[in-house]
Formats: sequence, C-alpha cells, structure tokens
Amino acid sequence: MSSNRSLVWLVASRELREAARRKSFWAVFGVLLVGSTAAMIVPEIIGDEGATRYDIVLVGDAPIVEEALLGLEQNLDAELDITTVDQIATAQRRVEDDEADIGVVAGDDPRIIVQAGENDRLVGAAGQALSTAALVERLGAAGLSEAEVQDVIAAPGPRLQEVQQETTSRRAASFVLSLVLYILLLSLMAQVATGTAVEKANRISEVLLPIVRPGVLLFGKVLGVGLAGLGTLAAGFLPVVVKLGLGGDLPEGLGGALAGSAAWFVLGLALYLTLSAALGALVERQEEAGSAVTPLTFVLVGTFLVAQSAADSPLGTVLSYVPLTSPLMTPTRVAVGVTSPVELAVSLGLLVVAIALTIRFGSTIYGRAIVRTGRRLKLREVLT
Amino acid sequence: MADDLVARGISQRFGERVVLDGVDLEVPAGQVIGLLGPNGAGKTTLMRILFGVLQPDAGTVEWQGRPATEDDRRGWGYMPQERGLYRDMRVLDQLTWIARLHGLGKATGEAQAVALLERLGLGDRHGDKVEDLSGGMAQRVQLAAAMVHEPEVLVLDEPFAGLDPVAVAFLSEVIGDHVRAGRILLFSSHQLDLVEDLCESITLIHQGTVVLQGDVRQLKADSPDRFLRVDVQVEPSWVEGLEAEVDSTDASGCRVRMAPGTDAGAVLDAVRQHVTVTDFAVEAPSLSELFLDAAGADAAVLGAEPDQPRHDEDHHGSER
Repeated sequence: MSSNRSLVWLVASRELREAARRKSFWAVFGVLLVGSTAAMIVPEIIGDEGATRYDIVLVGDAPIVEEALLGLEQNLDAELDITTVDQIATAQRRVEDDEADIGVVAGDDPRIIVQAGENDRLVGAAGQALSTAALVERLGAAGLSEAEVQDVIAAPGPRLQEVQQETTSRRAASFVLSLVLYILLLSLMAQVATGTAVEKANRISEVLLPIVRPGVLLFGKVLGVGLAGLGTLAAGFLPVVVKLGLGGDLPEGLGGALAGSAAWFVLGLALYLTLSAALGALVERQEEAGSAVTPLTFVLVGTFLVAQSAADSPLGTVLSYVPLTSPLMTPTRVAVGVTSPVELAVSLGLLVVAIALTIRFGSTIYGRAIVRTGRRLKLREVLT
Repeated sequence: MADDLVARGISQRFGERVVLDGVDLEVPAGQVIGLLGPNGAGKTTLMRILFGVLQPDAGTVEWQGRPATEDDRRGWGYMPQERGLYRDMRVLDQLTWIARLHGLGKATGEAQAVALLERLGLGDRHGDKVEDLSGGMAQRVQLAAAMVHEPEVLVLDEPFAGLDPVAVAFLSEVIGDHVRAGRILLFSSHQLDLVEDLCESITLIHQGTVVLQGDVRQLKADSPDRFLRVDVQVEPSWVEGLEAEVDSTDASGCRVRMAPGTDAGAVLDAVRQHVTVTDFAVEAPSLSELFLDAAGADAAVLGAEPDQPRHDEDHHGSER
C-alpha cells in the first residue's frame, strides 16, 4: 500500500505533467522569460548609449575653462559637447533657441547664460569650472609651476548621491514583483478551483476518494499546481540569475525584494490555493468555479492596492500580520524598508499556523462537498 | 459466505430528504448482482456509502465478515455513471496513474493498463485524449480505469446507460469473466428489462427502501402472474370472460395477463378463433412488471424515466 506521501506526490506529479502539456503554460513561461530578459538587458543598453548629453557654448578662447568643464563630465554623469563662439550675443541666442543648454563666458567678467530655472546641475558644474579656471590663473600668477597647479586642482570634486532615487527604484521593483505574484496567484487560484470543479462535475473525485483521502487529494493538487506556477515564475528569475552569474548588478532594491518575497509568496500560495480548492468543491458546474473564488480575489485586490499606496501606514502594519493579506503586504514592506525582525517572525509564524488550519479545514469541506452534487452548496451546509 | 460484501441497515438523509431508509444488500462472490430501481431511488448514494465516500447516518458495510476498512476499499474498483475520467488526459497515462494510486508500481501499472486496453479493443488508442474518443470507447476506458488494478470488488454505476447492443453484449462478457474468477460484482441500472437476463440476483430499491430482493428466477417463479405472448394484435373483447386481459401491445404482438390459475391453452384458443398465431409463449412477469407490482401505483414513473441523468435542483447527493 502506498504511503500518504507518495500518494500526494502522485497526485501532484499528475498536475505537473498535465500543466507541462498545456500550451498556455509555455506561453506564460515565454512571456515571463522575454519580459525578464528585457528588464535585465535594456537598462544596460540604455546605460551605454543613452548617457545624458549637454550642449555648451563657450564664449572666447578659454582652454582652461574647457578643460575644467570636461573634468566634470564624470561628476555630472553626462557627456559634454562644447562649442566655442566669439560673441556673447551668439551664445545667448543659442541658449534662447534651445540649441544649447547653457552658455559659459570666460575671461574677466565670467558669466553663465541659461534659460530661467533650467539645468541646475549643469549651472553648478559650469560655475565650478569657472572658479577652477580662475584659481588656476591666479595660482600661475602667484608663481606656482604648471605641475603644482595641476596637483591642486586634481582634487576630486564631490559625487552627487541622490537618496530619493534609491527608494523610488526599490518601490518600483517591489511593485513589479507584487504585480507578477498577484497575477500569478489569481491565475493559479482559478486553475485550482476549476480543476476541483471539473473533478467534481466529471465525478472523478468519486473514483479517487475511495483510493485517496480528501486531504491527500487536496494537498497534492495544491502542491502540483503551485509547483507548476513556480515553474513559470522560474522563467522570470532565470535571466536575473544569469545576470548575477555574469557578474552584473541587479537594479537597485530588487535583490532585497526578491529575498523578502520568496517565503511569503510560497506560503501565501499554499494558503490561497488550499482555500481555492475547498471553494471549488462547492460549485456544481465548472463555469461557476471562477465566481467561487471571488471573495479571495477581493481580498487580494484590496491588499495589493493598500500595499502599493500605503505599505508604511498603520493599516499596512496591521495587514502584514493577517495571514490572508501578509503574503502581498510583507514583501512590499520589506522592499521599502519599514519592517522589523519581530514583525517578520510573527507574520511568518501566523501564516504557517493559518496554513496548517486551512489544510485541515479545507480537507473537510472538500471531502464533504465534492460528493454532494446537484446544485451549488453553501459553506454553512457543508460544515453542519 | 465469508467473502460477501454486505451492507446492513443503511440509512442516509440529506437535509429533509430521506435518500436511503434501512437498506440491506448482500453481494456474494461469483454472482452477478444487480442493484436496480428508477433514477432517484438511492442507488448511487448506496454505492458511495459502500466505498466510504459518504458516511451513512446509520448502518454498516462489511467485507469478509468484518467492517470494511479504508485499506480494503483502496483495493476495490468503482466506475461512476458516464464520467469519472479526466477528459483532457491521455488514455494510457490516465490508466497507469490510477493503477499507481492503487499501489501498483509504474511498470506493473502500465503493463496492466496496456493489456486491459488491448482486451477492450483500445490497443491503438493509448495516446488519445479521452475527450477525443467516441462515447462507447470512453465508456470502455472508464471500465478499464475501474479494473486496471484487478480489483476483488468491482462496482459499476449504470454501466449500460447509453450503450448500443454490441457494447451491451461486450460489457456483459467482461462482467461474466470477472464473476467467473470468483470475484465480487455489483452493478446498478434503471433499465430493468435490459439487464434481467444478466443478473442472477437483484436488489430493487424505490424511494430509498428495498421493494424486491432475491434470486431473479426464484422471484419470477414465485410470482403467481403469467403472461401469454402472441405475435398478433389481440382485441380486448376476444379474451373477455377468461380471467385475462390485454396487458401491452407493441409492433411485435401482444402480452395478455392471465389471473393465477387461468388455463393458458383456453386463452390461446380464444385468440386463435380470430387470427392465426404463428408464435406464442407463456411467460413469467418481467422485472419491471414485478417492480410495478411491488412498488405500487406511485412507481408509474418508471415508464417515463429518461436515459440521461436528470438535473433536479432539489436532488443533491443522490442519483443523477
């Protein structure tokens, strides 16, 4: 006689094999693979070619200023295209006509010409270049050799670190991740509920139940569909792993978001799919399976919206403890950095307890509902 | 007999509806046993209880002289009415998978599935999905799914519904083979006349209670009613005063019901005075006639039973 574990695996492996035979599985796999590869490669390409370019009009022959400007390219993270003209008026016209970003006038009366409110960073850099040029001239006049002057001005300028940028990119990463998980969860829930409804409607469950306990059947299905789902998700992770393997960097914040998501996602998957199987067993026809999981869908949508708009609010904190909402809420909170180790441990613990209860409770519903055919059942009828 | 499958005092209700009320059923090994009755009688519910899929409100299921356990049942085979297969799964995969659930190894399971498909005339259909098969072929795959692990107990729910005569003969043969091997077989049907030659013993239920039970030949012999079947149309006036009446008329002739003790020769002579009779017989009542007598007037629904399972909204948990 087979042990329960091998029966669970038999049930699960059937789901896996049938999933691998479906075109839709490979379609999703392909889309995720292409999308993720693009997300990994495109920033590299844009990063190489698409660096910011500034057009600068320099008035007068001022090699020191020009050199000082070019020395700031790295600080600005941009390429500078410097054109030299004779007249200040020419520079002013070009800036007015948007042909150049700024005009820089060297000499005794240094000046920067720019459209009002534009190019703050460039103006700062140009100001710095003019000061440097003036400094070089005065140091030369004071009798320092050219080498000594070079030594003085070679001190590196400050690098600009934009803090806001990092939070934004972490939020973006967690948004993309949550969205993918959310969509995957919805589609797997529908798959489990429909699968259960089909087994009931086609009376397959009657053949299986004398052989396999309801709990085994339920858990095997959840495991199989869940693993198939994670299989499609692997298509999304593959390019990330390859890029890391090749020594590339991940977009800011993605690494943390991924690590934080994994545990909650896997457990959340188990919870939602178990509930979906139990709800799917209540319906009479396959077409009703979608509506059976509607309450779960509402919870998911609500959590997703709160997670994306107010993860760091008190509501977000509460939802990160509630088992049904924590799988989507907690990874987002991890990504934006508002969780504590205690919160994570408690949230995870509650989730595990909820899953254990759900499998027990779900098996009962499933076992009772799946042989009561004729019309759609209410939860209350099955439990009493 | 120790090998019998026995159900005692089975009662089951769903909400207010009593589906089974103190039903006893005995299925000895080596005999074809029919669980008969109109749709909605409670046959499927009883089968689900035999398999432990449903827990009855009262009563026990015994196997080999003791209460049947989960392990016992895991070795049995059950074919539900009409469906019971993953329609989008390939035939051989499906049978092998079911064999493995029953505890067979992968190689053994597949070998038995291949052999059974060959025997059922589906040797060239291994890779087809069930949904791509004709109804008759799908039915055979379903039978194969119930038998692939060579079960000691085989229970078939309405196996003859919707089958053509060739398929009926084929299925009867498979059932006969199973029984001759000394195994247990129970099947249900609402088509009493179709299966009366196949059954050795029957349990006839109606509205959740047993109305007729026992050896088919004995039941017929015990009935005092006799019918004269002739191959001609009989006018009711021809047999007036002979304690006989025309019971049914169809294209092949008439059946004349005779009261107990009536002289069949006299009735035949009365008919022969009007027409020439080339074929006749004195018959015991058919199963459906016995059923109608036993169940009383409210069983008139039997004649109107559709072949297809019906969808009755207030009818969950019982027959479909």
